[in-house]
Amino acid sequence: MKLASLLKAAKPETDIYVFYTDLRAFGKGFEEYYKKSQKMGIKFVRGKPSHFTENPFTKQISITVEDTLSRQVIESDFDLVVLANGMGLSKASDPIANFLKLAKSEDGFFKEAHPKYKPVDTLVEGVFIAGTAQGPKDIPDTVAQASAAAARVMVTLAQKEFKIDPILAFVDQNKCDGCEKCLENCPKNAIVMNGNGKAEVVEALCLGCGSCIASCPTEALDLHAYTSDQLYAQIDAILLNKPEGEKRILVFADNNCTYRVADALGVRKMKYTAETRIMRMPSSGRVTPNLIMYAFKKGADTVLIGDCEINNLPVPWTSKVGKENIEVAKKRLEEAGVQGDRIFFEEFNAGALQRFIDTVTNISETMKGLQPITSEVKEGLCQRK
Amino acid sequence: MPKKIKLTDNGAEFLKQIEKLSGETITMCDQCGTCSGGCPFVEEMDIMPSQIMRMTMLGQMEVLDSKTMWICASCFTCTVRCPRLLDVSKVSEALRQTKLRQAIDNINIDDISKEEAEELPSIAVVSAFRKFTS
Ligand code: SF4
Ligand code: SF4
Ligand code: SF4
Ligand code: SF4
Repeated sequence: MKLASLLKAAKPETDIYVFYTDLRAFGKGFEEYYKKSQKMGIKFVRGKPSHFTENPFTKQISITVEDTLSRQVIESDFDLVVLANGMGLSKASDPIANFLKLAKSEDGFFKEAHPKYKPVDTLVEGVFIAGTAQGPKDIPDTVAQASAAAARVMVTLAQKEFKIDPILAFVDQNKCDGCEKCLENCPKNAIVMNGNGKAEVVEALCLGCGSCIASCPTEALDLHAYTSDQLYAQIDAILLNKPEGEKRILVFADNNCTYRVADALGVRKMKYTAETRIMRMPSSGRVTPNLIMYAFKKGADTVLIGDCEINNLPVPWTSKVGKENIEVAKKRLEEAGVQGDRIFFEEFNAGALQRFIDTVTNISETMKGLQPITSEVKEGLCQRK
Repeated sequence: MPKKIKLTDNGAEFLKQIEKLSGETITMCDQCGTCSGGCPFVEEMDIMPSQIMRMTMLGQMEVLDSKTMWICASCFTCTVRCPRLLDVSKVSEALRQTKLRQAIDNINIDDISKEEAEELPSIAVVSAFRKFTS
């Protein structure tokens, strides 16, 4: 519209047509701009050109398009055709994205931490975004967003000390044998080797997602507030005194979505099968194969692992790690001779109350056909007592 | 039957002519249809008032062969309702003028009987003469 009116102003004798499918100039003062273009004599025709051909002699381009408002097909020659493409993020952004480990959303632009509450934050602490890096926008919106980002930066810089979440990974220096397996399993590169040949977590970088824990063969790697000892003890308590003949679904519920769903169900007094037992986890990535096997050993009949939907994951890689862990656990169950589908994975958003109920109901139904795992098999599932 | 139309320089010239005669900026028309929706005579017309605007904008001179501009009574219903403050009746008038200035003589005054003269819309008769005077 801008180019068309500039051209029309410079050369009023040009006959300009704008073909569009939907037209609304949103934003303050822009609808007036549209009217002004019409007033200048630019002709707006609703319809998407479907065919372009070039006359090999005159080099004129012929367009066929339906004027969908008058239901007529226009077939005409033009001296100049300008195509208007959708906006995208430049390729030059890739090195920045890789360097800062910034996530991109489905549309290819940088992803904000939360579209409503944290629109200029990224998932990386201390990195902020503004302008067309985040999505297509005009100059006033860019300036507004950039001001917000600058303010967020000032908040960060004004602090003498930067406080971070205490839920962080740590390495038990006595247990670690320096095998380095964990290093490549943290997508944030938050684990490094220290001078003693042992692994160490850089706390400023760690997001506390728990995705690295499963990679450590010696269980030296652990997560504060969700330590392996704590989690094993929880499983013990949950499955203690399970009556003969009853069955149990153990739900490993990620803290951001699945656990909130369970919480909301309780608040609203909505009922789901009493076979369900829920354990809070930081993410599905923290659910190690060892934990799953231990749950079966202690009497769980099925295990459900819940995490957020892929687009809402607070840490984007956790569900991928969670699913990998599940595959490992499934193999171990098979090798131990345990029959049937017993491990389930489901993505929830925080409002998926009914779906949670349906999911556990379905699992409960399939459980009816499952034989209990014999105690000899159970013994072999996990080394931990 | 869907038609294929061609955008021509003559058509663009025609639009300019009608815009000049009517004083209306026809490219401002949004094709919202308010004029056609409110026109009390729309059922008598072969094409709707909003179509007149569109065809003129696209330079389709066959708009001059439509009956609509002769049926338009310049009642201004469309004029007061157009969200773009356009005056369709002025465009109708400009089209009538243009058609008349082609000076095609369809009426032989001697052939009109007295009864017919009483039936005929006076606007048509007056126009028939006016084409030779203006
Ligand atoms: S908890 Fe997550 S961010 Fe922290 S070291 Fe492990 S994988 Fe990396
Ligand atoms: S995987 Fe475990 S044992 Fe190996 S280096 Fe990392 S923390 Fe140490
Ligand atoms: S002025 Fe003509 S076109 Fe407009 S509403 Fe009246 S009759 Fe219809
Ligand atoms: S009301 Fe005005 S803008 Fe709407 S179609 Fe009629 S002339 Fe065009």
